[in-house]
Amino acid sequence: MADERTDEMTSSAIEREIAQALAVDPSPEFVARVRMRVASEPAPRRGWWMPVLVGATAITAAVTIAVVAPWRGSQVQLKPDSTTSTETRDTTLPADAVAPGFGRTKTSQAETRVRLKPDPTAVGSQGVGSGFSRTVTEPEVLVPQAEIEMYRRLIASVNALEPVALLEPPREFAADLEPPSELTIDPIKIEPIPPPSGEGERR
Amino acid sequence: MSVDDHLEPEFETRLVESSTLAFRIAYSVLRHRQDAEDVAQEAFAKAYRSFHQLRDRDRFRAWLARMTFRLAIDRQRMNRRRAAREQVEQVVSNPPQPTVEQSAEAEERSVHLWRAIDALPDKLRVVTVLAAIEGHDLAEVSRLLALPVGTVKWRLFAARKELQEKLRWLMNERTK
Repeated sequence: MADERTDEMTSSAIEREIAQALAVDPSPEFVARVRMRVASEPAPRRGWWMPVLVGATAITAAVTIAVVAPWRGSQVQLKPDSTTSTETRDTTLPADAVAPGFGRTKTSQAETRVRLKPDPTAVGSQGVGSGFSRTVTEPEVLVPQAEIEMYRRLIASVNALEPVALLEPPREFAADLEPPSELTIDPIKIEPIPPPSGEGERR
Repeated sequence: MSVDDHLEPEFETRLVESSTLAFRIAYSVLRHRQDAEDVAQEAFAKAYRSFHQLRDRDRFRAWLARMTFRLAIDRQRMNRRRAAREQVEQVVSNPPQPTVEQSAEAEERSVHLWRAIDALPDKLRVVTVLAAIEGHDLAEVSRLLALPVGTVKWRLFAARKELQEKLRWLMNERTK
């Protein structure tokens, strides 16, 4: 009991002692000195991270656009054939040889532009030859005439369900192809390294 | 007028409200008026730099109390290291500057008390000091330290017990 009273007195005495010791105030110039010190500091910026966030967002958007735009540009522009076929060179196949939903428009004799657009009547999900739901305003695909001929034959054979020598290249192609010549490899001549001649030579 | 212009008057208000608190916390550690003012000034400068995150009154005071205490501890360690390097004899525990009225006995008791306070772990020490500064308003102390009131009570109890043991030993030694 006595110890408890002693403890209470000690505790209260301790608290009193500490409170008295800390009952001091700063000097009158203290606040003024803090103001002067703060005045020399840069102004507090609100949301210092905001410019960083905005910059990062802008960079991300620019990178996304740069990646997506060429990818979209690589797609073939398709549109339905609303006109009958015009004059073409070496037209030997009937009009129905052309696959539904496809058309052609001749622009030059050297090559023919194949312009495809989505055919609303065509049934299909995705891929070439099926209906598309969007029009891509990209440069048209330029196809050589000889290649068009080959495609015509291929489509005709598929429609007719007849085996065709599809692998036979057109005559023009065959004519252009030259048999590979034999490779000639010159023999390797190894010349001996001349020995150093004398003191005057520099390395 | 930009958003940042509103922060200046708010900071001025916080400065006036909390200047004494920061000074007394620093003084409780350093027991030197000039050093305590330097440390409190540094704490306010740091608070100013981060003020956009400390505009709430309670948050500002809590942040300031913790920062001031930490800076004061660092300053105390630096002073002791410098004193050790300079091989200057320094009183380990600097008691608060006594007044004329205090007797030698009171001065000696004060020395022992502050030596015991310095020996407390930092967590108990800061609670003891803040309780004395805030007049034992435990709710305010818990807000300053961002601790539950129960934790503050427990730490205060532990600090008192430790101080009592040290001082009882000293009192017994004196009565022998």
